[in-house]
Amino acid sequence: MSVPRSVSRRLGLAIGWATLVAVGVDEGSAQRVALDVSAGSVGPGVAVHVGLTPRLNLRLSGHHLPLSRSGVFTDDANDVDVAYEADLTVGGASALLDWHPTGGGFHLTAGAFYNRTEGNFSGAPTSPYKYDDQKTFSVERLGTLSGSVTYASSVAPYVGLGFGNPLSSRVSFLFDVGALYTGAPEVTLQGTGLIAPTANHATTINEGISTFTWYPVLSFGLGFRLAGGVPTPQERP
Amino acid sequence: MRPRTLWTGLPLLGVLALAQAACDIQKATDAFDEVGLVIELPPINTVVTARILDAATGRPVTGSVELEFGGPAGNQIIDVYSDPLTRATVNSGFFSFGLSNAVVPTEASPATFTVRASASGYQPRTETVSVIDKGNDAFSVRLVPDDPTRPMAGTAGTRTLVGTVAGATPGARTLQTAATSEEGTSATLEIPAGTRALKADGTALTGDWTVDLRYYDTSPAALDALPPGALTSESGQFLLVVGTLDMQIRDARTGEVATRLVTSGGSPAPGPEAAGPACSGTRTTFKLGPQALARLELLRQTTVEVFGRFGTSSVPRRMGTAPVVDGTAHVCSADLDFSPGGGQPLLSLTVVVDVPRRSLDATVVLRRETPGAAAMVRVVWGGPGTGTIDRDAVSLAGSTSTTVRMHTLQIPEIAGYRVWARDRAGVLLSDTVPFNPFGGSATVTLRAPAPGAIDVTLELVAKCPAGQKVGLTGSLDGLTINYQRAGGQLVNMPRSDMTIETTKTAFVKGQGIMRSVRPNTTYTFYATLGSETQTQNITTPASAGTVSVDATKLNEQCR
Repeated sequence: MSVPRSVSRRLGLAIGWATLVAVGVDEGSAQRVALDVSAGSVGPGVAVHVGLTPRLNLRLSGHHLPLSRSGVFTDDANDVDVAYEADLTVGGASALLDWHPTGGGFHLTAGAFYNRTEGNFSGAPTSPYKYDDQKTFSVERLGTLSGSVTYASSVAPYVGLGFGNPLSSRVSFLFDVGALYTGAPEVTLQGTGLIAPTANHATTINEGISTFTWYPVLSFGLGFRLAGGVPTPQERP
Repeated sequence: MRPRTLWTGLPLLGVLALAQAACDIQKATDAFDEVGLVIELPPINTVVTARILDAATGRPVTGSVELEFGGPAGNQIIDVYSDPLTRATVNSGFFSFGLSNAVVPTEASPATFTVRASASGYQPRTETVSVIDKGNDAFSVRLVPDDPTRPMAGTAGTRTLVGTVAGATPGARTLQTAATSEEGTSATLEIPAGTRALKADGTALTGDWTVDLRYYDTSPAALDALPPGALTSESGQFLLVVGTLDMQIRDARTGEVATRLVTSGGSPAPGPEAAGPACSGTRTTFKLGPQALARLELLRQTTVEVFGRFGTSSVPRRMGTAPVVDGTAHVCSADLDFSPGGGQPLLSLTVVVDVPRRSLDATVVLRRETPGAAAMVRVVWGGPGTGTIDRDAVSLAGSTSTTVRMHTLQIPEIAGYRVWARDRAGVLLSDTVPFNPFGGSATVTLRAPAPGAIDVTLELVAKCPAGQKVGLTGSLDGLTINYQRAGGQLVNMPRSDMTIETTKTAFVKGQGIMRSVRPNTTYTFYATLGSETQTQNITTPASAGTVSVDATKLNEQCR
């Protein structure tokens, strides 16, 4: 699954705008731009860092991780094989402020995340259901099941902390840990045939995951300073 | 890192930790553990129970019975799992099935279908069933035992070994049935010397014969069990049913039925005779008792026509005509023309009396001995010339007497009618009462509930082991309940008296009310789902209450 074109366009515009703003401001700030690549729980992504002040950076990023899986599992209670296909897309775009209170790599981060994380799945029995040696239900009569996992709100606030400042050196290691307040995910299920009532489990599942309102974020990355920035002691003459 | 940084970062870390700790992983795990495929039966609006009974004993046939469905609504029949159904095997005497929800049966537009039941040791039988309302309905198929010597109300039979020489009877034989238990009438079959029996394929039976005779009188019990072909109407005319003889000739070595002759008809003795080479030389003579004779006394001047069905043809062909003057039918063997059969064996013989019919504005007063709950009562007219005619009466709620009018009843002007009452499931509610079709009326008294009758609630609780559930959930509309005490009639529990409690994943509890049953009495209880029937004996308590039903069979479905 790919990032929707509208999102890609917005993300590109935002990064371009930030870059232009960064290079178009006063001479001191114009040199404070960096890029990073990262991987973590919101998927692999790229970001542009713009130094707003010596201790405050604007970070605009995009993440995208498409996952898909298919297979067959056996419902042991009914001895029915079910073939399934599942797609999960993790990611989105974010606008974050990194505050480096010490002027070093440690930073506190807050901002907003345009959450595009969602999942879809479909399943259908591939073996008939034998009931009581008297009756066997064909796979056609058993029907199909499909569902999705989404978040009610596409915007999620983020708080976190981390280490690393890509503006501080030509190449830097970045680490972030934090959480997105996404609200609880919502599971919807639809079914056809005799297994259609399985969709009623959506209520049970949603009740079970109702406390999962925070999405953990853990990421590692490498930053590359494009120009300017705070010279490291090794770089100082 | 400066202390200030620590003071800033550590609380944030704590907040993040708390945020993650707020996620109740155990709750989520429990929720997902509960998730599994739920296979649920769709609801069925109309469920019908076929009760396959031994006509001799009234008890369910416990052997294997094959059912075959047909008729106008035959393609709307579904099994209890909502799959289309054309045939079924029944091993317990009970079978529940449904009608497609696309069918909404009403009295004005009934769902009519046929059921053919066949079982080893019994004569096959086809019933035509009309369902006029949704909910639970039931009908009975009374299978007549092949062995005519088995006692059966309203009938009498013999089984005789007839020796042959080169396939032909060496001398004349006269076979005589005993008198029936209900009306005391009997039948005689004369087999002339030189008679041969032909099989269905036209070849002669070479060895000795076993000749089975079963004679049916005109009592309600016999009318309920008349063999196929004995009670039909031709060209809108009614058959004259004043006694029916069912004869089967079998190969004495193999037991294979070679030929069968069903003869409906009768007249004052010596009565109609069927003789000639085309019917293998068989000659039937009915000797009717005085009760049957009396029924013919009111015959007006009219015509008697005799029809025969030959060979493999299903179309009856006219063999003779005779006038009836002053109640005396002049039909004899010389009057019957066997040529329409083209030399094929005679399979059945019917006597059609063109009796003037009249539109009868009859009334029947239904009276109950004590007021009771609302009940839809089926008034049944029956007698010679009509078989049975059913009409639903109005509800009897709160009243002790109701007059039922039959404005459109058209019946032959023949005496000997009776009227009685059944409930919707066919349970006899009254004695049979003589009914004069020439403007008379009758009073039918519904039997009062047995003194001290009580309502008993049956309760069945499913107890699956932990972590298991019943394999199928859903409406379980196909589940039907019948019960019967020794010597009593089968009662079908209406759906309105049944409650089934389910969760979203499992059947939990079922309850049903046995109404007006005797206290401290053993009842046999039949719970049927499709072709599966659980049978057990239940002893009712001394007063109204609840009785637990063994749920072993249901609990075996836990997975």
